[in-house]
Amino acid sequence: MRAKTGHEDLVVWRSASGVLSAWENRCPHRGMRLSHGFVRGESLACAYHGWHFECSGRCHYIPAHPELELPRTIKPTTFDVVERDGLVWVNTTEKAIPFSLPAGATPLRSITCNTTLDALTNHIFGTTKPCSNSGCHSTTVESQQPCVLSTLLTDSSHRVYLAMQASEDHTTVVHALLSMEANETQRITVSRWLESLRREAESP
Amino acid sequence: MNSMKHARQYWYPVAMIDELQAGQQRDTQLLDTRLTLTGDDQCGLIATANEKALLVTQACDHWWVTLCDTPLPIFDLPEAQEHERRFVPCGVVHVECSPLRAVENFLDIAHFPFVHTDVLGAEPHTEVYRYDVKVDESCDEVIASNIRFFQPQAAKSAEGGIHTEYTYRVPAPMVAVLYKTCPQKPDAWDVIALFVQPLSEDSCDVWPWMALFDNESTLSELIEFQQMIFVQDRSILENQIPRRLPIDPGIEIPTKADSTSVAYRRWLKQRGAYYGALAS
Repeated sequence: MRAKTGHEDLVVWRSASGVLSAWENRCPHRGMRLSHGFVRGESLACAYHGWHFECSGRCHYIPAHPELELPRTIKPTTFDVVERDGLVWVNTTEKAIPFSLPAGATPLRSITCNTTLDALTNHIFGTTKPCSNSGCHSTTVESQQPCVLSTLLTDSSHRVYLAMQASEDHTTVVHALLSMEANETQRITVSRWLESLRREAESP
Repeated sequence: MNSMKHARQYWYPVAMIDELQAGQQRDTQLLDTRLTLTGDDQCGLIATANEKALLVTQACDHWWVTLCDTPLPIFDLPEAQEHERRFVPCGVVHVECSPLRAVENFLDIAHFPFVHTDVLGAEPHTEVYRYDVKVDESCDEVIASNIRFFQPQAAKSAEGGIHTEYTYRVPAPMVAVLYKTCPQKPDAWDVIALFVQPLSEDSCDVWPWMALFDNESTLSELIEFQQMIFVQDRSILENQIPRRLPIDPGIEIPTKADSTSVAYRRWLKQRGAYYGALAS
């Protein structure tokens, strides 16, 4: 899948055996976004010319030249990636050190908001009133910077963790997690609350 | 000479011949300049930019326009005079990419099995065999020849897979002509051309045109086939980064199969054809 952090366009993919990778989203051959490619076992194949890249990023097969010995240097820029608490964490400049969430946090959903990270966090901090249609409201907001993670307490006694990912194109992806196993109704309630949060943050 | 000045010397397609009736008007864009096209009473076309009339000419079922008062001659395509062929202007496809990326993709065969799967190519027939590329100094064109490739359905008229032979000509930075094995007439070549109208450095309108030996398919079948191919290409072209064509080596890694693309980029560079290109 495609992901964006800051100014970086990323491809994040998982091999058949479960190895996770995050790379610059650009095939070194002709610049095609690798997020349009296909996972073939332990390789990611570019959608344009079918070049195969293994989990380390190294290109090991060029279909136009099946017999060719390939230099190790043909690879996209790769980034450090870590998986924890059901989230994938990437650092595009150094080693990825994920923020630790309390035990038991389970992923709910990710949504994309057409608003900047600042505007979105300002909106969340300003929202202590009930979200009328969702049947759930936040009572306290704790910021857990610098990893842009906030927590909210809802009246259903669940904590909601929001991991926020800003992109240069003024959109923010919010990955929401719940503090404990919630039943379907509770998950739907919090999901609706997220949508109303987005609607309000996006409205001028 | 700067890139814009260089680009303005050429002719560009802006409409199909019978598209605008007398009095009918359409706005378009060429090299960042707004144009107005108007059909006139003599079945002609008037093209204006900033209220100034532009030079207009006809070729290959299209109207061509130039922003220059003393343009280069338009390219020569003798097959357009062969009246036993069927001439098929295929309409227009808008693509959000550099006009040069659109041409380069047209010159590329290695993507057929992946982008035009089971039509112009299929796995495991992915190998690109050695072919010849040169710049013909007499006409100042890039020529790639002796290209052979297995195609499951090379054309609308093809029944089953054939080993197709290709020859490419690039007579202008934004015009490419393909000669390919004709499935119905093995001693002749079908001609498929790509005429690109550069709207800006990273957006273009593409006018595919064909001159075929095919007496069976209907016109709409032929157009549909070509449009299907080009819409598949668009999904690639709008996802290449950067959008402009990197003209210097280093940003993208070519292989032997990309010899045409390498020659095309070098040819553009030597002529200062930087409009739509990314120079380092």
